[in-house]
Amino acid sequence: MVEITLNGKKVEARDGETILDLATREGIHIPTLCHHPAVEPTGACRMCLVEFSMNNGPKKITSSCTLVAEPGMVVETDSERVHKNRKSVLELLMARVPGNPELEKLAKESDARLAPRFPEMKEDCILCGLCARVCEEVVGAKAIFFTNRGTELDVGGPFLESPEDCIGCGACVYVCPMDCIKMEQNAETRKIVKWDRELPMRKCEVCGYPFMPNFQVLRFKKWADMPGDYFKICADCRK
Amino acid sequence: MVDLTAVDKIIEGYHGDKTAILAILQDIQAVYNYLPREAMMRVVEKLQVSTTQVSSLATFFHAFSLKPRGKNIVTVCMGTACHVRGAPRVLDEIERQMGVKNQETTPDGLFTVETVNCVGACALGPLVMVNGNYHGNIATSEVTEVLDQYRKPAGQA
Amino acid sequence: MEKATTPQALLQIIEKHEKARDPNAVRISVCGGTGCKASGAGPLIEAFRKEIADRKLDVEVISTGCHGFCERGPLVVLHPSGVFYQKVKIKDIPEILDKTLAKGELIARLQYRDENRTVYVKEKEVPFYKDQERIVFAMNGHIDPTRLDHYLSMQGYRALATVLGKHQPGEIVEMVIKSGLRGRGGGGFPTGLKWKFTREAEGDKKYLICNADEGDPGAFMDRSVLEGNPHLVLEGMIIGAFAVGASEGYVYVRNEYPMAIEHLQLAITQARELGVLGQNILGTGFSFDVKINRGGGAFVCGEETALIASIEGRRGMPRTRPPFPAKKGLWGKPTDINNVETWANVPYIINRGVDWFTSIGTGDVSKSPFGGSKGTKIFSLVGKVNNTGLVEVPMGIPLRKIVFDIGGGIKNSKKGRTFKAVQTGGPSGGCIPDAYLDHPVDFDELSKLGSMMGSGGMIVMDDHTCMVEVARYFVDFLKEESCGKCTPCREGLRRMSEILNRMVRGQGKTEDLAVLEDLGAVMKDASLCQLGSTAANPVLSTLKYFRSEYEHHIATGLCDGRQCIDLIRYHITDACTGCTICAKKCPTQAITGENKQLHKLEQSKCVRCGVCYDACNFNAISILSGTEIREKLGE
Repeated sequence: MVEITLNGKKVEARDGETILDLATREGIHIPTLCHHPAVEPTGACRMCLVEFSMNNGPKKITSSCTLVAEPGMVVETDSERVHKNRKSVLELLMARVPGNPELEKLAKESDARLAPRFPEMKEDCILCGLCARVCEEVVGAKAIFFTNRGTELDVGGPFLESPEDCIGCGACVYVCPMDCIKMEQNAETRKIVKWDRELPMRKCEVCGYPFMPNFQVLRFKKWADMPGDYFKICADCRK
Repeated sequence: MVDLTAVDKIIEGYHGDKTAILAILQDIQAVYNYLPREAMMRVVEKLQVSTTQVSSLATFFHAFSLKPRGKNIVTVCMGTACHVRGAPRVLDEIERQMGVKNQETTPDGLFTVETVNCVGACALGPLVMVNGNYHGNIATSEVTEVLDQYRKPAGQA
Repeated sequence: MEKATTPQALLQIIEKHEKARDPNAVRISVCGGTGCKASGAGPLIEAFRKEIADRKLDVEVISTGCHGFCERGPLVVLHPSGVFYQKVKIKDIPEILDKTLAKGELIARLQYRDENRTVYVKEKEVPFYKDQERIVFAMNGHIDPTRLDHYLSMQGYRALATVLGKHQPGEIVEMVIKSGLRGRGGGGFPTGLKWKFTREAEGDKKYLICNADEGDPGAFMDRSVLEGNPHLVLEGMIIGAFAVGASEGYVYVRNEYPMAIEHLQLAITQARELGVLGQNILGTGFSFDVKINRGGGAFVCGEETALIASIEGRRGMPRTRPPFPAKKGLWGKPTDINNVETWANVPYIINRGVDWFTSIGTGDVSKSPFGGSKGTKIFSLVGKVNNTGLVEVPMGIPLRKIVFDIGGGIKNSKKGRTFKAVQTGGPSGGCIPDAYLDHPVDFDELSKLGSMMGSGGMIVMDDHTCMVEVARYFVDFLKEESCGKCTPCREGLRRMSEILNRMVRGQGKTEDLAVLEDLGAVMKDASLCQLGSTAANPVLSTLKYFRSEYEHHIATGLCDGRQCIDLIRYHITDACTGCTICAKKCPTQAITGENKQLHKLEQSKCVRCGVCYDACNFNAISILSGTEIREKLGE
């Protein structure tokens, strides 16, 4: 256990616990966008900023999702400086992705400018990379990732083309905080619209429901060494 | 079709070491003058890495070119020292004479114009490098003279 | 080269080479650094050697590392007399041998003369060198970097022999802490503390990295050190590896530096042969080896976590610190990273002692290594200054001395150019105006001025430099070089770039200045890495010291530096003598006029390239901006 000061109160953090996790446990709300408990924290979006100092040293701003509690740490989640920075980050994100309900909700919560002072871009993605991290760390497909750098940074398939390693599992659709990765599905195919990846579906031999893309079956068999007939019926009928 | 024997040789030279991927891509570019897609796919296959890893590296580091480049690479240094001594004007003049913009290749395939953010020859700015040869203290009026050296047919250069 | 199997044996080898070096031998040093090679030093060295062989003279021609005075290259120094010749050409060789070498006669046209036409005979008398204190560069100019015997003859590897023969790793760490040596790559963090953290970190394996990814545009000292004295860097690294307990090392060097890579590769091979690199070094049981990694052209890879990602074969995207690399670095293991110039200081600290090192520089480091800035720093003095090149000076020297004494003042001062600012610290540094020129240069003082030491770029700007354009240049540079991972840096730079690009076209708005300051604040506070948190410095420092230039751009479209091409017009004044040179040189035929008649410039054809301005010998071309355009041209 590690004792730290959080918003003026002495609290016990677990070994290796991040300030974000600790604050959440203590009932303190810190806004996040690129954070997901299933993947390693990355500190990209800078929404979860907090102010901290070590042993009475200078106060610094950093992301609470990557900050691990250490003895002698003093953390403020609610200071003026924290809010000022979070608001500026939000203003930048809202200028990039105008009209996004999630960003507008965060802006209202934190009393940030609703009308950014910059020309609007027509993007739908904040480049938090959560889709790519889930694809690599949870699914293991490594189908999508970052391309280019700086203000040209983008996320998607290799060379920003349709990702051939995408198994159409939809994990990226599920985790995207901007809800900008859409999935369309009918009886024959499933399409991840943002990546322009369309895959024929496999139908359950019992109930006939198109439960999984064929390509996903192929990859699962390769990764997990599953028996040949394992994916002939859907999970519901297998019960 | 791109002949990939050189790629295989390069990868063998690193004993298929995945961590040497950046060096492998650099060596491939040194042979082909750019990174052909087929060569990158061969790296994916041989090193057993993901296509996203190769594409993310090839588009992150600016030394890599994904497009074929001209016979002569004209690199204008845009480092600070060169910048304050007039590098933008030199680049303008080169673009004007070539009729192409930065990162483009002339229709005859003779020249590709590129910029670099400092080659570390700052005392000689503004500086233009052609195929690795340095031409320092270049005035806009001297651009023609420098480029003409590389316009000559092979054997006379 | 014979192999040394004990520290004692190495000392004997060093002493043998030291004795073999005759200080009175006749030698010709020709600078073979990249700068001089660009000016033709390569063929010059070959021609010297051939001529001397043909004449059967007992004279050694040494192709040395960079002497620093690149602008005057190729440089030649004759030893032991110390006669200094500059801009030497192949056709000068017979005369040098006939007159200077044989009879001691000087050749006036090859000698260095300053703006006042004062002639200087010896290298060390030249103002550019006189006020320098060359420690890291001490051997550059004297040794051939491809020759291990040259390095050994100048105490090379003596520090390593001392360390391995007499000391425990902990003692070396303490020594480096006490020396007050701070990182030369930018941050200025005490090197000894980094070593201590790495040494104390738990790990079955530890790594050591030399950061030679010199990405700062306008700085090239690391290149010159690696090209000119690679063994010095290696020796520093081997000592460091012993101190922190590292068994593997990497030198991460820019792919744009082929000669540095070649010389370093050769030095690694030679060091293995000598027995100072590899398994069981000098029979002490300590093993350490070094690999070279070539960088791929990304400024952000100078940041240590990005550099580590790149060595691991990933995108050079930084991660948040802590954990610092000393705890969790390359492949998750404790890793010590120091820059080229830092490593190069280490052997000298061992050889000459902590007291000697702390006698140079500012402050008091006896209680804390943060207490001052010790030793020397190499600056790359470039831009609108008469003497450009690399200068090594003691910490604490005033900026004015560097710019005006060593640098010889502002270029074209006779044409009326005056000093405006000196930009230090690379793209993340700041612009320092005239009022602060007497400030001493060290880590802490430069920070106080809103700039930083960085890796030592020092770009001098004159009154024909537009500070808004300078800010735009750095912001656009960083916008491309940012990794793009975190919001403040990526989106902040995007917006700063939009605003500044508007402003240099005369489309700035009054409220832009407040927005720039707000953006600067969030970038500084909230960015993930050092690149982002310092990226606003060029904007913030120019807003602080040169705010009126921003205001002029916005209010009247006046570019004080007469540089922003949308805001200026070239204009031929009555001083025109009709010499026709401008009309001949104009690439767009915008200038017309008869011989000996006042010339005329057609504004609609003018692309504002400035060729006419540079060409005019009569100061007859003026650059109009702001309200002058309407007043003089009626536009």
